[in-house]
Amino acid sequence: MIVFVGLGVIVGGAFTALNHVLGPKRPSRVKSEPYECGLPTEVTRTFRFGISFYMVAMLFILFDIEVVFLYPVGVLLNASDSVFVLVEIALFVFLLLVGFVYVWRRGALNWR
Amino acid sequence: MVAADVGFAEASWIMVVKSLVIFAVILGLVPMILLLERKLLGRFQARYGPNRVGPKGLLQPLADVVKLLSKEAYKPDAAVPILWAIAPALVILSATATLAIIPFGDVADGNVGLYGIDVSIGILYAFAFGSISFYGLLLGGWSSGSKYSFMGAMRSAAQLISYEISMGLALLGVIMMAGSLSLVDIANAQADTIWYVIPQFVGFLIFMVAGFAETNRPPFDLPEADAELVAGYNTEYGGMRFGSYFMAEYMEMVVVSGIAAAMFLGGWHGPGPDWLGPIWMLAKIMVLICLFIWVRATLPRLRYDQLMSLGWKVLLPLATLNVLVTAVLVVVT
Amino acid sequence: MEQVAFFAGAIGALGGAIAVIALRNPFYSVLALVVHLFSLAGLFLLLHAEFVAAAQVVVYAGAVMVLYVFVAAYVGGVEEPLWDAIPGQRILAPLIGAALFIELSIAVLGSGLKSLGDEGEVIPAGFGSPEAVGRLLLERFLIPFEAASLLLLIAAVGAVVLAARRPAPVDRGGAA
Repeated sequence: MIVFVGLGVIVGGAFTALNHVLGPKRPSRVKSEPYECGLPTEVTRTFRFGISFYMVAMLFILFDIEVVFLYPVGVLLNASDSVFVLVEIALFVFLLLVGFVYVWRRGALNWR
Repeated sequence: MVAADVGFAEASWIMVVKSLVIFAVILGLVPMILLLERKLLGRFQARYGPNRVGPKGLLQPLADVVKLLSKEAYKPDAAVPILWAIAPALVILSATATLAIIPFGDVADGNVGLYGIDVSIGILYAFAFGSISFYGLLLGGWSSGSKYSFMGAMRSAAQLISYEISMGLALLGVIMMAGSLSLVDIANAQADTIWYVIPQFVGFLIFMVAGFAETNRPPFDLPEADAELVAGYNTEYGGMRFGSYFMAEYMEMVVVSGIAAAMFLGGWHGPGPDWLGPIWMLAKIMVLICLFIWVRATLPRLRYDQLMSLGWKVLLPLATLNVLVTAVLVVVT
Repeated sequence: MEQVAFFAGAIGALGGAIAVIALRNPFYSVLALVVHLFSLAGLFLLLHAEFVAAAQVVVYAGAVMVLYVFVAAYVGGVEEPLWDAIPGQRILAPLIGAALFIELSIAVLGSGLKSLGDEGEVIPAGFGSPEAVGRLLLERFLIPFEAASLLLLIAAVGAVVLAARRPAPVDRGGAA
């Protein structure tokens, strides 16, 4: 793993830096403005975007935890005492599905 | 990282050498995929595709790289200096690190595993490093200081997280059947029986669709939808920094194809002698990449609300059902 | 080698944690928290807790921080404080901090340090692997495991209720 991470750092760093070494340098004012198509440029880092982004992020946390919990338990399904594991998985998924149905019925999955 | 229980220890120089070889092979693969894609897209649209540079256009990727390398390194005034430079490197780092878990064969000659790393957490390793690429995209978009970049970054963030769950659940079916998270074990479990693509066909479909979305490939290329967002998170990038995002996308395609090949298509197992294993693996990866290209040429881009409802209202319930049905079947049989 | 990794992780974790409270821009604070979480995952790896490390990255750095990033991007790079100072907070804050420090010191000195040795624990084969964690979840921690899914159900309901109360975008993004 260390080798791959090291390779990634080297290659990524090289790609980022190479243009400084190889490329021409002709800066101009217009070139360094943010891209805009026919309008005056404006720099903003805050946007009032829709509530759906938060909804998606919150629901993602819930289901991500579900997946992370199910992985170590799912691995054991084939090993021993399968019926017991199956019941536990089914119960776990069922409870989350109830929440999922509720979220769906309340319309939180509709993108606004 | 501690390797899974494989019963042997590799010398560190072997690890370095094999990592370099795997990385070099895939790095060599990326320009070929690039050319293949442009050629195939051309043929799909009754064109020739690139055919000017070199014989039959074979040197086109090389020319592209030279062009990108000779560009000026510039920085928009509005960009946050360090973050803006780090972001593309993060994406490359994430893509390179996930390459490590693609297995090209089992342990050969008793002491060399033909894979970068075989960890007990297996596929979770890919998800963990995948989350770094999320920050690469988001930082790139945010630090550019352009509204197109930022909108593109927010879109790709919401898209990535929407499809990651379905991806994880789709793989859970295979994991239950194989009883292991390690890609090497899973590929070996398919050696004597049928490939998991047949019993887990729904899982395979969900995984591939989620894979298209995770790599920002058409028809899910909303973050860089050029008609509305110019180029999304990489609007303000140029030269090799733009190239970094571009290359990372292709490397992630290889990773997704590699995971799918190992988990659903039997990995390196195939007819013929054992030494053909890595070639089988590469062949399966290339077939899946052609699928990526075919889908790109066929399907129009989705609207953003369609993209979200496909992820949450279709793929997620399907993947959950798939998990439950698979769990019951595994226990019954 | 292991010591170098430990100190790199420890410096990352501490530096990230300090940067979270020291930086004024909320977006940078969130990024510092991400660095902190990745460093923690590295420390877990050193303890042979592979599954915990992966779960740490996937759940915290990959999911919870996404919500934080969304909220921070929404609030934007504001340099001024988001609300007025509470009267007397300059005196109260160090006092509460010192009390917390003393309390934690008592807890750490009283329990943990005695069991520390020079050799370290013997690690059984397969320790920290998903199988081992799964077995623990199904045997020793069965009730917490199922309670977690109930908790997630409640959280899903709570998220929808919070978001639905105001049709316009909420300003803090609700609870995390």
